[in-house]
Amino acid sequence: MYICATMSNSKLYKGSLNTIILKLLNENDKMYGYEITQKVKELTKGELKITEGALYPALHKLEAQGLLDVEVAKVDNRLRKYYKLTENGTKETANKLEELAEYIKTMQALVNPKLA
Amino acid sequence: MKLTKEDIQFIDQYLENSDVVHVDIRMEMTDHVASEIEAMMVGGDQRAFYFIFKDYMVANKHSLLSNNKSFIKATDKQLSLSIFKALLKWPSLLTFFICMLLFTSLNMVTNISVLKSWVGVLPLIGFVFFGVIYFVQLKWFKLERFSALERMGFIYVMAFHLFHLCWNISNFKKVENNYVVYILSSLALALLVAMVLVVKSRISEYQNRFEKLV
Repeated sequence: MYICATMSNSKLYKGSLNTIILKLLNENDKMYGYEITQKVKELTKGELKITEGALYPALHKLEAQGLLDVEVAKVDNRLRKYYKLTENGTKETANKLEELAEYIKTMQALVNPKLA
Repeated sequence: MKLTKEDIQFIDQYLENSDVVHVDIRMEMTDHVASEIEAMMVGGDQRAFYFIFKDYMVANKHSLLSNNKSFIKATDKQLSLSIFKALLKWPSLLTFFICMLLFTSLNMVTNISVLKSWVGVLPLIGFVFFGVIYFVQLKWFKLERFSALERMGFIYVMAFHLFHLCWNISNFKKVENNYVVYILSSLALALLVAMVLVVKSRISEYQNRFEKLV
């Protein structure tokens, strides 16, 4: 299992991994891999844990698509790769968040019509 | 609590021995493992670095090394796209048209049908030549290996096989009209120019990223 969730709902989260990454990078100027995993863990109070096996392939794909830019810096005796959004990445984040909001709204209407 | 330079080198060496040969992917993994170990130490783990590292790798090695394959796939995708874009740039287009003009003009004054027998072999000779130079200088100067530069060789070989497949299927060797040979040869040379353009841009990208840091 690549995305670990305390409930057996990792498949639901898996489809949103790119959106989660883009959203975090949109809120922070630049982030490195481990920082992203820790931020997700902190924001979801441990409910969602992104493993390196899921995070880095997603980051590399987003970089290959031209949505992320990379910056390397020397930190604590080692090289650290920081990711930040490109101009296209910022536009894509807005699209992805809109899609996600629409999805949540639709699911809400299906699952709990009173709240929708 | 921060790991020492020797601890970092130990992680790096371990990953290199585990077939993570490209420095551009290894440095990210090294940083991830080091950050995890430092967090464990800050969290109260009193054991020495080696024991924490050993337990961490037992639990996470498979997941960590799966990054290597995905990184290489992403690199191939990125490179293919860059080569296609470079093929549409003026140096590649110019190469194509100059070659076409040259072959056509040469054919008017002399018979260049000998090109047919050489056209399939030339790319392979070039590949072996550059491959040998690359690996000799890696060993000689003890240089780091970068993914994009090596994967370019893979794409080159794939392009070469595709070229040969087209060549064999269509049986162009028997075609009397030499223009098919000229088009294929010119296209192969334009592709080579596009690849050189991509390699140049990747080298300067790597230099910008790493030169001032290492």
